Amino acid sequence: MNLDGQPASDAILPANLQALQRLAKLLGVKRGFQLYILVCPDPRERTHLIGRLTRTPELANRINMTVDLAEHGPNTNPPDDVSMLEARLHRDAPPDAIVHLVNGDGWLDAGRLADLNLHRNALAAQVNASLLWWLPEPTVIALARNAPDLWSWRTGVMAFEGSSAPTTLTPAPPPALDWIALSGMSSEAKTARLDALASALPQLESPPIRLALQFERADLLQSLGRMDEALNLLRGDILPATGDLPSERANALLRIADLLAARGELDTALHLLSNEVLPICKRLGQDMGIAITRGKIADIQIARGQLDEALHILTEELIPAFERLGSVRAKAVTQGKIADILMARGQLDEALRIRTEEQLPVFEHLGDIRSKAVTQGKIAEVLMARGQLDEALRIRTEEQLPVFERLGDVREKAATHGKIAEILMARGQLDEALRIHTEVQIPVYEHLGDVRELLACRANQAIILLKRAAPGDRTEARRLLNQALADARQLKLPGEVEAIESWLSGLNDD
Amino acid sequence: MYQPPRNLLQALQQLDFDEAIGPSDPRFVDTDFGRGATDLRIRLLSKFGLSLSTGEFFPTLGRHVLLFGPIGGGKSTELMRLREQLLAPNTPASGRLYPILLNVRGEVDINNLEYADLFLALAHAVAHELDSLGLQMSDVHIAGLQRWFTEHVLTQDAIRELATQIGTEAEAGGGWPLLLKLTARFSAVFKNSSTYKDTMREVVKKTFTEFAQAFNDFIRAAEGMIKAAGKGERLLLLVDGTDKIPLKQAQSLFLEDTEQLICVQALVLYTAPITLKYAGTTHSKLNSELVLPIIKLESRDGQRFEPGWQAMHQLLDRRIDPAAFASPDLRDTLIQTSGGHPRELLRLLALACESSDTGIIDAQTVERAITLLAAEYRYWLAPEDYTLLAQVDAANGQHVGNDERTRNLLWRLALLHYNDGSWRRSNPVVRRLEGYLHARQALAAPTP
Repeated sequence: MNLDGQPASDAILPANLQALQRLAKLLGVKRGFQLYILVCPDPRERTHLIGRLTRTPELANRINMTVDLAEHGPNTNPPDDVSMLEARLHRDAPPDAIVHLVNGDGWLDAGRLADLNLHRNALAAQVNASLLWWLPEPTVIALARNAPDLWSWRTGVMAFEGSSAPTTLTPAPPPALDWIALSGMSSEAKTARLDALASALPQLESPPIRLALQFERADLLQSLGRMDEALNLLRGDILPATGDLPSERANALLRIADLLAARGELDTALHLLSNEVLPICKRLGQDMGIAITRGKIADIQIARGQLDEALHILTEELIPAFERLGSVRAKAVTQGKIADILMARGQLDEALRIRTEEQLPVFEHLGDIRSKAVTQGKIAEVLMARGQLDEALRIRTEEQLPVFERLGDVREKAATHGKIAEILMARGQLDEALRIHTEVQIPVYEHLGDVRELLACRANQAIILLKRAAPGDRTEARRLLNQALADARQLKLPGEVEAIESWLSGLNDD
Repeated sequence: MYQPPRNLLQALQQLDFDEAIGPSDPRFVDTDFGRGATDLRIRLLSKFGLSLSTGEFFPTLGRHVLLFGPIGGGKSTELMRLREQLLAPNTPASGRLYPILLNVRGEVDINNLEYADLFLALAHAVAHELDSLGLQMSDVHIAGLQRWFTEHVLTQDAIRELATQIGTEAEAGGGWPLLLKLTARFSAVFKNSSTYKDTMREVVKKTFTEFAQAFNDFIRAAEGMIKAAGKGERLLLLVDGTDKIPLKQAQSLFLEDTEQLICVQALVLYTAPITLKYAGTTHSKLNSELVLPIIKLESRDGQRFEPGWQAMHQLLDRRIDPAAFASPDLRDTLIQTSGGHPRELLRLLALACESSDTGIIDAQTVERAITLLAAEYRYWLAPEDYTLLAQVDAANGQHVGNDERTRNLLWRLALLHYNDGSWRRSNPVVRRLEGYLHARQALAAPTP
């Protein structure tokens, strides 16, 4: 099968070429009803794979059609049940057509899976076409386990990888418990406050007041990207001062664990949380503290890619705990983490359902317009992953930006502009995307003294320059990437260092 | 003369896992010795009162026999072979049993099969066979079945449209042509319409005594006609595809509804999923002893079993030209990895044909095919499954119980059983998975 010489817009991951060739071969020789299970976590990669397949010369005379099974998001029109899907395929799919069934991770729930298992005969009798089920791995596992009869009819199973290499650099969320109070302060204001604290602290004798201000100092240092200083302060001054105050000690340890996790020292962070913070919370009977600590343990598991374990903690421990404690907000935030995991696993429709049906109503009810806007941003991410760029752009510009403007949250506003630039880049509007980074984002982060965001912004500028490839762009991109790499190393951010190094090595290969 | 394809794409195109190969097909291979089951047909026919060697024949009035085996293990081929053997002239067994082969998979919805559907499909198969032989039953012999249709089925409100149509035809003729139409139409109803199906099932259930009597009279009359035509003394109904129905349906059909099945006084052989053998069929009133084993590549003590290797080599060589392999030992690797299961071998071959970039199956391609097949098992095997498989292997194939997990593993071919089921081994591809390796390691580790 000739899959070479395809347009760059259909560029697929090299790792996926072999599986795609197998699929193309089978499609080329097998006729009549065929069932293919295609494991793919990434809708963008799936789109590229379908594009490549459609342009394969040997399959050129086959009619391709796509059935979108998404139940959530704009313009969805999934069949109500398996019978309706069967009827739609019977009506629309001509003989030997290649039918791509996409976004079915949420649609294919336990009930429909059981129905499909029972309907396989009728489906085969009614539909004389190749059905290509593009599904994320968790849905494929559910299908293999719970619909064994359908599984036994598979013509082939092909596993494709998602694009794990980032196309842009999104900095990890800053490791602080609550950034709301500090997020809008300028770097000058923060530095001034730090100076004020430095002169005031030696004069203060009251230990509780001193401790509270030391915590604020640590937060300020963190917000300025001075992670080492924050960590030293927490370890050297704050922790010893919490001697007979176990809850404050747990608080300090939590922040230390956050900082360590952000630097990639996951084992040490996990050890602190499991062996020091958790026992204190248990001894004090602090159910909320236990839940928060378990949540942070889940965060580390997510960072390690142990998504199943993290999902177990979130769904089996945290959600019931927050329900018991009556904390609807914490529950909604946890659901957000669950949605993040589902999205990482390619279960976009279920992630979207959680965002729209579980999280948004809670934040609306609480009047938490900031969290609502953040959640809408997550919805836009899913839509972007699905290729619904216009709707994603509308949410960013019409729903999110006005809220952050109203709140005076310059940091979130700048971050949203960065996301808008990402969408514009995907639409090929490179000059406008570059302008946003240069004229809108960078001044804000420079003003805030946020080195972490600045380095991400510079890396993203470089990527756009490389894509634009105008004279001089390549040199400027290399300069920006080198600067971002130095900052990432300085801040000890292993994920960012790895991503930037990979882009730089790509440049050096030329 | 048949030549197996050398071209990998051609070989791939011709590989259809659901296609049963009959004895006259050039790809057919006699696997009796390879399975260690040389007397299976003798034992099978003796259940129906026929001695294959002497032709002695003394059947009971009715007999329902289950033939177990894993899916893709060759049961359909065995039934086609049996049919051919019984129809062959000038053998001691000639003219005794006249076989009628019904594959329910093509006739009814096998995902939702009940005894009512089966009986109507059988009635249609018998009527159709007689018709193809140019035999027509007289009105007297079909009166019972026809009366049951007209009094109980065609009067149903839910199938009024169909009844009206058939009623018009009945007025035009009736008799044998009408019965042919009725059985064909209502057998098809079970496949295509859930409304008609539910109504028909309800009718069969409510009037079962009457239906069974009419059906038995019909079978008796058909046997009379077959005998009069010199084709055989009794009918042997070979029902294929009942091993592919969902387990719950199979359990219901062969364990729970057996009273209805044995009300039918006919000689019937059904294929059944191997799992059912271990799900309480010993208490069933159906005859449930016979198992078609898969091909043995080694004996339980680990000794190479040459007839098994020969059979598997022939199976492979008739699907693809041996020249398609870079070296002969690669064929051995595929066979070894199949565990002696014919369909697993064909799956591996298909995956190898798909994976080759060079038009030849080399070592890298074989390795890739094995990895891909193993990955397909990884999707559904649970951690506890690996533990059980490792336990079976550690116990040298001894049965370690027949719980639902074991039955599921047998059904889905992660666990293979040999001979008549006296010993088992995990599927060799599963042994490559990390889950299995961990389970083996955990078993080997000394207990604290």
